[in-house]
Amino acid sequence: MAKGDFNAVRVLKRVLIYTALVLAAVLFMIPLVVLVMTSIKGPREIVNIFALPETMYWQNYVSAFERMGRGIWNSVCITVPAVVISTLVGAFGAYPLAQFRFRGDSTIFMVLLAGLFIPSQIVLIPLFQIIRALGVYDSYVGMWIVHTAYGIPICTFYLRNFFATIPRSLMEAALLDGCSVAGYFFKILLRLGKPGLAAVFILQARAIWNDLLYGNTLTRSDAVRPMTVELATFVSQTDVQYGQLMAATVISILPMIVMFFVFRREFISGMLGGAVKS
Amino acid sequence: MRLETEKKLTFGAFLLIPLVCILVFMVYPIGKSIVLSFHRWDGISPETTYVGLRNYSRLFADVRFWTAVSNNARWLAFSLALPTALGLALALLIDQKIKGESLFQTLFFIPYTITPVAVASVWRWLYEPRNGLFNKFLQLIGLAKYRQIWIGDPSIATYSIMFSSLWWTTGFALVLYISGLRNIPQELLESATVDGARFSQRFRFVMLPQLLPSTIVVLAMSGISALRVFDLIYSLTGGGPGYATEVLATMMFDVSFNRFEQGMGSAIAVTLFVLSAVIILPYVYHTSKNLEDITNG
Amino acid sequence: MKRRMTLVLISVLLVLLIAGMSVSGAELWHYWLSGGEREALDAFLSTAREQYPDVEFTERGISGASTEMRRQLGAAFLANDPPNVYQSAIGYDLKSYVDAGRLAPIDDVWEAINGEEVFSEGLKSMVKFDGHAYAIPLNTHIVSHIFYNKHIFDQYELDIPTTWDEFKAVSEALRANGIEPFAAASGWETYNFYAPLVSSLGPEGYLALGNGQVSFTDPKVKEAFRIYGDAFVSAYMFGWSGYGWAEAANEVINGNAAMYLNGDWVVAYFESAGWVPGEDFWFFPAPGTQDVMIMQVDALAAPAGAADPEGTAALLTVAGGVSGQSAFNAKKGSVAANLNTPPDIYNTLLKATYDRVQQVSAEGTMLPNMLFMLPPSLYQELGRQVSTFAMDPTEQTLEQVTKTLENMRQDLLEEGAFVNWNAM
Repeated sequence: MAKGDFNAVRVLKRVLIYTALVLAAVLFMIPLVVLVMTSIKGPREIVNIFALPETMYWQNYVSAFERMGRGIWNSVCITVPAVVISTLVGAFGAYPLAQFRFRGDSTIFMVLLAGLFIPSQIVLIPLFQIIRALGVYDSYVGMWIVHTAYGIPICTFYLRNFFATIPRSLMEAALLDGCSVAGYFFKILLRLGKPGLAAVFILQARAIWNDLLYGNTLTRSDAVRPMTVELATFVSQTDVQYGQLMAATVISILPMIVMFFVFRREFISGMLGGAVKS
Repeated sequence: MRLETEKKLTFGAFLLIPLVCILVFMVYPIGKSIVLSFHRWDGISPETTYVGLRNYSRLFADVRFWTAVSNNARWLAFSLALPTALGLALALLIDQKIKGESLFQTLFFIPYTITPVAVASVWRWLYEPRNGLFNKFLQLIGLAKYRQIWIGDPSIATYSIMFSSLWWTTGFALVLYISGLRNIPQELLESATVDGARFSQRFRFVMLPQLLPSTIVVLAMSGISALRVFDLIYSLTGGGPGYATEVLATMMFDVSFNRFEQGMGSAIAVTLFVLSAVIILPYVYHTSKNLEDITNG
Repeated sequence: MKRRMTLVLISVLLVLLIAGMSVSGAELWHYWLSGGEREALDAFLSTAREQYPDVEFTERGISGASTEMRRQLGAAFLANDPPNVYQSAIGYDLKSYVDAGRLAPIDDVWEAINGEEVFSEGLKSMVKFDGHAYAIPLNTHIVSHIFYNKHIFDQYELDIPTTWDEFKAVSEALRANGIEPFAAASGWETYNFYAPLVSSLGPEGYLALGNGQVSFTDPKVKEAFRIYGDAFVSAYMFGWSGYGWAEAANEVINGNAAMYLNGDWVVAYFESAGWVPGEDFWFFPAPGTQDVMIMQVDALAAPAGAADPEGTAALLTVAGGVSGQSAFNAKKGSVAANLNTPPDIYNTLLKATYDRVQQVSAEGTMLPNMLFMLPPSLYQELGRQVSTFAMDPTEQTLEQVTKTLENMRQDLLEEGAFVNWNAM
């Protein structure tokens, strides 16, 4: 009898959890549905945003892809290396700050963090000058460098706190076992920190993939210019093409969804990795 | 002793790259902005004119500046509370070993990946006074008299933009909290369950402390993005009607590039930088110290 | 042996010839990015390529319009690497580049295309400074024409209003029939304010205001605000401040609102939605603008110090000439700035606009958008203040709004920021 009650409560709980989730999901989906619906509407139908599309106007996707094709490839070439490098460099900074006490450590941490507060619109001109001086204007390399530099604060901040949850005693033990200080980072810390690294990967990928500001200022040619710069051209001052804009947006989201699925697995494997601690 | 030297050398090398990057790409541009904030410059001319503190004194005397500051304060309050709470709640729900977990996770994350121009367009439609979903819904349930001009009424426009921002940015908190939850050692939770702790107790005494690293980051990042908020406002209302939805970043942009006063724009940027640092840094410093005490006893 | 020598000679000659032709090039920065704008640009560039097959014309679209253009150019100037030609405004914005020494005079091109003859006086004063020409005007958009839904006007047998009283009567009739009289959008309020301004101050007064010679607390300026409040704001549709310009146009297309005053680029938007000019919609001059038109102009300007001056000259020559203007304006839906452009490139609506331009140029005054005359900070502030007034069109707000603007005018007078465009 007592057991029956327990089950009823359990079932009720599950029902409540699912109800809440489904409700939230439906609400979250409404704007997405509007977005996708608009992406398959012809210009004549767009004047009625909330009417269902009468025909599938795939032309939007064709036009969007024609305009952005090269840009998508450029964005991939900018984003993938930039995410890897910035996460790694952020982890470089995070490791000593999380695992070692030394004079000035909090000052260094604060300096690294101060980068978070820089209003990006205003630094563009000096940044442009630096990038030109380095000879990497209008190149993938220039974009990697900028995204890495501006990714350092968030990556260091997050990973430093994440690494700090891994007890320092673990490092001491490993070092006693003959592991080198650098070796501990590459062989153990990066593995233990998988959920954190995966989270940083996702956040950085999203930030870099969607960057318009740096792409607009630091690239010039079709061969380098990221997709976002093209995407922004569907809304102009005296003309708009909402159908194509939304189609382009859907195209731009897809790689993010794929990436999210990939790193979701890292979350889960990170959970197993957590068992190493005990 | 040799170990200590090795530690120093390795850690020094590790810190070198990020520090150099910061110096070149951030300290230098910010220094430039500070210098520029004491000048008048139209953004085009080869010459700048030194004006001393004039930009700052004009700025602080400007009603528009204080409107922007008070809106930023509202954004700060909003961003610290709502996206964080909603992200945590959704992460906890998803973590209950449910079916379709990946589907839900992805769904809540998708809005965060959408480019601001598109987010703004979709929400402008949802908020449209005649055909928009919100007003249509109110009409449908017989509350037509409560219809609002969501982004066109100065008294509520900022809150409407915040609501669309909630949809847009909750994915951020969600990702960090899921990653935080996944890093809680299972044994900890299991032993708490065996001890008969209710969910609320487990949450308070096991999960919440373990989620501290995520929370610190979520709160700090929310705070910073609240102070720097720009894209959605710029695309949805451009700071209007009048100056109703203006924040420091939109003001900085307008002054620098629409009004050709880049010296003034830099003064706003420097003010924004200092404000962010003053508000956020002590919090980060304090919480990060706490974190160490918890982890390392 | 002899044959081999000839071959070698010929190849050497060929190589020399190709080297001698040294392919020249010109890069154009612009923000004609979407729909008809893009088509107009492409048509213009292909005309340029036909006329100068040896020059390689490239383009770079800059999203974010004139604001972003200014930022990009600012950066390019610092790096000494500006484009050959960029899409520019006329008047104040253009002059700020000239004053900074960033633009090269284009007097040769101006002479080659006979600029003195082919452009109107009003335009010339906004692209020529100290006797030197700095930009080629490409097109003329009209921002003082009200577009209306013909079906609605036919159904309720409404006549085209020519005075403010008639306009108000039409609005009332529409309201009585459950139709929103006037569509409007947030951020575009100033474009509705110009007609009241002209009808209260007269064309000379409008120009004087642009020159900084009229106080914003002048009774006539206040009267303009009152006309704007009475005629336009009271006719605005429910929730107008929550609309973007395209969404407001949708309301006219869907028959929810009857009239709309934005730039005449809305014609391209109407047409893309399947509307036919003359059948579904038409236009009339806003009350008070019968012998006046307010124009918005795109021009091309050439930064100093860009590589390859020949390429620059080629592009500008095409831009000023009849063929370039025809190609561009037929797609853009605007009237060519070059007065010699044959009107057969226009569709019915543009032809009617063109006829009005001819008539007003001869008998009335073509006025520039305030955007081109006022110091940018005052122009931006005017937009915000008109918007503030539109949200609450009371005498109290009127006092506050005009006072704010007047204070700013005084500051700018002190700085010597105004330009006397009549003297240009």
